[in-house]
Amino acid sequence: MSDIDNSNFDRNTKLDPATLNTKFTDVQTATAGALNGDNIRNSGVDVYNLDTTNTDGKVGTVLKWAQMATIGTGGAGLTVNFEAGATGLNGVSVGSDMTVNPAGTPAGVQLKTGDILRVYWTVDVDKGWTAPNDNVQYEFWALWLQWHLSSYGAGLFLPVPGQGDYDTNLPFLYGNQPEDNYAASFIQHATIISDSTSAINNAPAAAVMGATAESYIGGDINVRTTVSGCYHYVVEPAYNNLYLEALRVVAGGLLTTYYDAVANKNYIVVDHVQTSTPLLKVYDATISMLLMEPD
Amino acid sequence: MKKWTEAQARAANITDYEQFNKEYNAHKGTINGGIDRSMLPQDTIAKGYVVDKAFHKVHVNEYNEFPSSTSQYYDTGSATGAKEVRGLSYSTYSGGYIEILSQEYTDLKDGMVQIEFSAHLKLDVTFSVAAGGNHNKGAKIALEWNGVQLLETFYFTQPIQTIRVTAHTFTAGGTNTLKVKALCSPKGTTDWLHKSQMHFYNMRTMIIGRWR
Repeated sequence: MSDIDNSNFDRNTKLDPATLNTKFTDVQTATAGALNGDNIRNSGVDVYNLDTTNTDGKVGTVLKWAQMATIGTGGAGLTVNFEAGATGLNGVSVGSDMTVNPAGTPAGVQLKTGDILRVYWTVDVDKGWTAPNDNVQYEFWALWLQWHLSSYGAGLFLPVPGQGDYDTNLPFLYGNQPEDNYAASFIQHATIISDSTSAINNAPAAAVMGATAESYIGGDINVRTTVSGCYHYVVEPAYNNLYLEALRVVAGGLLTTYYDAVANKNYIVVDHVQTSTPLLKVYDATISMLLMEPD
Repeated sequence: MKKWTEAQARAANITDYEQFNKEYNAHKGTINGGIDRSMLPQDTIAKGYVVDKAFHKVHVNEYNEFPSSTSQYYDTGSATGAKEVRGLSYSTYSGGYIEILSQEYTDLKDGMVQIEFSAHLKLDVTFSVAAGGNHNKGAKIALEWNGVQLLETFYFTQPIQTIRVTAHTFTAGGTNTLKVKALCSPKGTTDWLHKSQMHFYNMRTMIIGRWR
């Protein structure tokens, strides 16, 4: 609890209006940088007292910035084709970028070490192919988050920290390290199930299912569904004082899992060999972001 | 509503410092120990006025995968290479809820807490629970705060999906513990013994404690 002190006014203090008026700044002195949980919670400091001249709450006490945008591709949607390249994904933006605080001076919102960045996105998608194929049994698409910072060149977007572009040259295929998928949404292409009535299978190798014993879930193809994702990040010193100017969501695929016994890791890798021309269509999409004080 | 204003002291009103201090201290005594909303001016308090954790506290924690290679649920006998995952299998898991992460928080105050858990969930739904026509495999998530279950999800059934579950609850001050638990369908007659059945990638929790 912050207290007002009175030790600066004694016998030797000259009594004149200027001195007295200075004395009355004690309250300001006591409250600047010293209001704590007791003042705030127990003594009811609330919205009335907060510096809410913006009237929108984005004053930096708790919330520094909040924004939402529609970034999708309406109407017929955007077709994201399966990438057959053997050097990782390129990815395509699901529509437009969300420009952050374009009217700011400078534009964007300034990141400070320790700030909490929260981003949420929702994207309507459906999937298609030229013919059913069980190659997609363990295959999926990805939507992932990229940002544009004030230190980047014009138009450059890079994946946010904790996320990769699925183009890292791993010893076996291209893809992401297991710890680089924190800002992604994964979308199964089609669920393949076995209709087999065979006996218990204890073998550790992958299954080879007979053509008559497998099916795919019809609702996974040409049926629109909504996919969401989120990203939570504590701003690291490398980004202190930079301005976050834009965010976008990128789509690409196909991906699959990969366990490497040498590194003893479960990777997410690009599967660049498919015969059924799988595709992903993206439609409406929204993105929202909040930048918060951590405490 | 009371407001602080700067007093315009006039020389004629001041007799000596002792009188001033007496008056001032009496006035100060009504404030100290209770600087509340009525003592503070309108539209003044910005972040620079308050000490940390006066209003809230945010924690973001990342846990990567479940199970890790040191987990009791990690099966070292599963296959390697493309389309494979090494983790929990029916040789290490028999069913029921298991704890996939636990996080302790020591700096919260009594108030409300917002909890978010997100991850990529990989399931092997290829083979049926029971031979012939029954294909309903899946996994559920449960959140516990200090041992009290806040929510249990429906079954997630896709081979891979990105999930986020959110809950709000009241909380006491001091040490608090979040646990996330998961359940997977038990083994059916045609399921593989050594194939990863339920694997979590990139697990992350975020909590926001709010006490005002």
